Amino acid sequence: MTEPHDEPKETTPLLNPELTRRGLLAGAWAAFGAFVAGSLGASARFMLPNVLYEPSQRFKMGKAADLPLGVTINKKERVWVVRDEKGVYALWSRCTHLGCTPNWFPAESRFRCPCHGSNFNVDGDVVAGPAPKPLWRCAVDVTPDGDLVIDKSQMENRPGFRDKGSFHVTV
Amino acid sequence: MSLKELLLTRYFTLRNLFVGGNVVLVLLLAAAVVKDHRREWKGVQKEFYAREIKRLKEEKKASPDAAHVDKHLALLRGQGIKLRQLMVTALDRYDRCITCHLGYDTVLSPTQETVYDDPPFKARPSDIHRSHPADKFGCTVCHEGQGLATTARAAHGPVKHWEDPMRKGAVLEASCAKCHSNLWDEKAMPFTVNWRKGEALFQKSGCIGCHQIHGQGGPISVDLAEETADKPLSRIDFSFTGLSHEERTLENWIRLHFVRDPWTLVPGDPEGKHNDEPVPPSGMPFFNLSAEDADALTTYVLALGSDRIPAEFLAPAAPRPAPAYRNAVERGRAVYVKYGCGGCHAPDGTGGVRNFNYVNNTTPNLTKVVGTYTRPELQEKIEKGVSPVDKKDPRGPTPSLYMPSWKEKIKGPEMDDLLTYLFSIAEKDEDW
Amino acid sequence: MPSLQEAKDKLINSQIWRSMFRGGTWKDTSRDRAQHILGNVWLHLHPARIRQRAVRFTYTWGLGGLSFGLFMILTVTGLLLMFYYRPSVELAYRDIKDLEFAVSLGMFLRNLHRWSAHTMVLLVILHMVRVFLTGAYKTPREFNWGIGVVLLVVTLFLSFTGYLLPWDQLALWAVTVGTNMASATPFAGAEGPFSNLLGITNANDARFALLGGTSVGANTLIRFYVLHCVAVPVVAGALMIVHFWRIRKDGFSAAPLPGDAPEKKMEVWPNLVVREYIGAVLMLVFLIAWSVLQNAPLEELANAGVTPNPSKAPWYFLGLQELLVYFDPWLAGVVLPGVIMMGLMAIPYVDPDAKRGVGYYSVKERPFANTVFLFGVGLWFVLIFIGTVLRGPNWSWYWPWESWEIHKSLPPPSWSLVLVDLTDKAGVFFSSQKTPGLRIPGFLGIGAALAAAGGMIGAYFGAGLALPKLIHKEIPFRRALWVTAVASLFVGVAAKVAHVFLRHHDFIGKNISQFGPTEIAYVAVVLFIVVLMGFLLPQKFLRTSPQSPVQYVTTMLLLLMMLGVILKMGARMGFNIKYILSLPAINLNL
Repeated sequence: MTEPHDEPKETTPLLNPELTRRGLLAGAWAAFGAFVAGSLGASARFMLPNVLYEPSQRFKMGKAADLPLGVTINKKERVWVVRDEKGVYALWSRCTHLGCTPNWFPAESRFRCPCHGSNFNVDGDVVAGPAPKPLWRCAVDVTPDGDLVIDKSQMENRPGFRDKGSFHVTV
Repeated sequence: MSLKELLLTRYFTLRNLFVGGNVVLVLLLAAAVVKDHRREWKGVQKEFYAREIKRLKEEKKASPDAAHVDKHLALLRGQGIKLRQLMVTALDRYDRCITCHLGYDTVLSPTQETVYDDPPFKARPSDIHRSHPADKFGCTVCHEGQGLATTARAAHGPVKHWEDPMRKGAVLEASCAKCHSNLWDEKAMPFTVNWRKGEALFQKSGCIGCHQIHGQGGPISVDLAEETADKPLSRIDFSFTGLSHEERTLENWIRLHFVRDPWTLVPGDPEGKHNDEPVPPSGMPFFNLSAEDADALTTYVLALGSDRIPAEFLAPAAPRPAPAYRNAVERGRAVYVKYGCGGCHAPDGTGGVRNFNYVNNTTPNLTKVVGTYTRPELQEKIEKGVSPVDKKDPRGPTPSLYMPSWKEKIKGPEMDDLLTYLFSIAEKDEDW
Repeated sequence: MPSLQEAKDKLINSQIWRSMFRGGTWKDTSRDRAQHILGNVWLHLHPARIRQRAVRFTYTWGLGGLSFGLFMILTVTGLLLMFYYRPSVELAYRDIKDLEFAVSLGMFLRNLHRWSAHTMVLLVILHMVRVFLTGAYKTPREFNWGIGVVLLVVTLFLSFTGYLLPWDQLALWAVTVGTNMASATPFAGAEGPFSNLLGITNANDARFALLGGTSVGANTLIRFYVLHCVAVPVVAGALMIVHFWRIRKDGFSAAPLPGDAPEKKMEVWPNLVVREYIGAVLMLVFLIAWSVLQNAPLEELANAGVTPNPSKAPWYFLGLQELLVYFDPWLAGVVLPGVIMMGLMAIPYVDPDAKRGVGYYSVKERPFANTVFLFGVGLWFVLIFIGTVLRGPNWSWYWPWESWEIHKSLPPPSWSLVLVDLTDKAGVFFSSQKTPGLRIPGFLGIGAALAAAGGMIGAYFGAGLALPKLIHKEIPFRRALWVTAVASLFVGVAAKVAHVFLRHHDFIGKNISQFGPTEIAYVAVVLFIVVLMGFLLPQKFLRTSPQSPVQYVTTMLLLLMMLGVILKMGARMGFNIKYILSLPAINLNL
């Protein structure tokens, strides 16, 4: 049984007069809110892996300065590296029709696929045959040492986009 | 009343739906269980046990003292009807073939031989079976097929979405190449007859002149080892082949190259109807091989494929002895074969291989042409090549076949010997 | 010996029984029936009594309940499948093969799981349509409708993550296609507009976070497995709890009819419960029959080096994939789905009439709402149909009777109405791969191009927003329809005549080489639909509707955007117009 409170009782003096009950609670809630927000942020960061177990798609191909004009074939990595007046780009040697490896004919300036006859010009555009899309270009980079590095994990084949940035670097 | 009311008040009342629904539910579940329970391999196993038990009983009657017969009978009677599999962890293969082919189960059939003639009960061990015990190798590493399957159709194939149907006949030899690199050796590998026939055909026909094997060969067409032998089915255009869905296998597609005219399979677009420019038909000659020859060559090509086999399975092999040649002409002939010149210029050098829209229609006859060159001129011609070759109709497509530049590949003594050989087959001008 | 009834009574009144099942002998009074519902943990979500209208099967078709029932079936079958499935790239495919061949009832369970999943996606969509048509999203149920939209997305995501688990070619490439759209997110996607601003590459963008890597691989498989089996079902469960709670609290099914006539109420036990039970049983019958008769597909082992042609996403995403023909990935895959989701959630808040058409099928009373909503759902299913049935290798158009082995020639090149070249500083009109178009250099060109494109888009939206409100008198509808139809046809024919005169012009000849009856039809049909749905209908119904300006603008913007999709489709399919405005430098194309 509690007694009705008619008059305010004597309260003990506050240890810290600036810190009201409201202030303390607000501060505690703010801390909790910060904890929740921080946990969410930390969880989001947790979800982004730092190490990948994917095979490296980057490889080197000698010095950029040594690259001759025209088309250089790299059979092992399945790319053609093309050097023109503007710079260097790398084409993935895979026909966009059914995946065969076309051949380069310098006299006709054509990549010709032996499987169903698709023809690509040196930019990678389809000029004949059943291939539906232009050849893909891989990202190219030149290291400070002058090494040519090709990255097959980045690909582009849209006209306009493939002429810029890492898909057609100036050397 | 209307049809709807009639249906709702007479037939599809709540009570009927409730009772009917529950009854149908139980029946359907029973149907699912029954369907799952009835497997073809169960019948096969029952049949096998019945036959074996009958046979053993008769054997016992004939010689009542045979204790081993009793033991075998006890063993058979104790077996349940169950799935059986050969687990080959090293090869990542789990073959359930012995669920039906019980004659090859080492427990049920210790001699690996049965007296029956009808599949799947027929079992006749061969030397190869004996040297490749099933518990170490499994079945599918050689015979292919879908080891995980438990129905005949799915296990043997071809079935949709399983790209390695069972190999039968000559092409079975292609599996030997997975571990053995000496299929050429008649003494060490007496059984790979078709492979050797295929290799001989391959060399005679000069395939390596256009095709490559692991990067070595001519630049005109595809690499048979890297692109053809392991080609996924979704990359093959079967539309002109006329093969039924069941027949659409890699093996049949390869075989078609030898028995069908490649112009019918890859017709191109010579008049440029669907393209900006005309596209020539396939450059491959029409070999028109017999069925046996086609099988042999298919075996050879399939054997070029690669399976990831752990090192402990790879068989040691003696190196192939280099052939001995008596003179420069013979050496030169060997160079001619090595680089596949015969693929375009015919095995005997007389040419005559078709080349669509080429000004002379067919490849040059070396026996007639060589005589018009001096030795340095001929060497230069071979080193430079002729590309592109002249078109018959300038608006037509570029001919598929051309003379590659051999400068990087044929050098020094090989070039000398080749020239010697070519001049030896050239027609001599009678007036000389 | 005691009789059966006596024995039963003794059992039911024993201490053991009464400690588990409260209630004692069943007396079949109203009280007992009510108590059976209210005192049972599984059933007490129902009220004890319910309006008679709500009991009828044809009111809700049981769609919501069936969706939940399917979720339960999927949970049970999924749980059983988890005992045999290992989410690793070396083992997953083999485990599915084992389920097919070696596990008792493995194939059946797999089939049941898969067909239930497809059915659930379909039923959830139909449930949404039903709720709309009965006005059951109106006050006080707006928030529950929003929860429902989120549950729809959750259902699609559950189906999508599960799709990857068999690790066959279908799985790998469907998920590759589906997740590639995430990389088109503006700002947060490596291939989206403005990606270079924040240093976003494919090793740290939204797609990377989803896949756990730069491509769909072992990392993705385990991630999707955890999402599919644990994380998303927990989220779905939490949302369903709220969803069911709100249904109960907002008055259960069939809101009271206007007129305040007190309706007769029926007891939920057994009237509603037995109908729910029968619905569930019939659905199970259907699913079990389907699972016995048809096997779930399993293609070849996943191979990252071999892309099937065509590579199709799961059917419920094929509408999006088809949209990729008409819009860049960031629009088709990110913006449009986002707008659709937001638009759906906004419906209860733009609907001005909280009273009309709630609790029954008010098809005639809400003509505008019903027409526009059903049109949208219909358009969505048309896109799915096109993507599923009419697209073959290389995404070319194949009629259903055409074999996919027929070779189709390359499609004609596409062109942009306006292109802004920021690198070379120019504005280009009518630019395509085959013709350079009209090029105006310098900032003048850029300005002109942006003004033209902005003008077109502004005029479309501006006129669309203003016209229905500007014309104050009622237009006779039938006549307006005829006039529109004839006028659209006339415009089509006029365009054809113009083409006859212009076809020798380099641009027209190369980019719009033919103009036959199909092209006339494209112009006429698209114009007719856009004018009917975008002007005539709003003019008739929204002119006098009590919507606030914000509600009106929202409604019309959503409607105009939906019609914009149709305009884009017609422009692309009929005349190879790919972009209204193209800004290649910042990866932004409209």
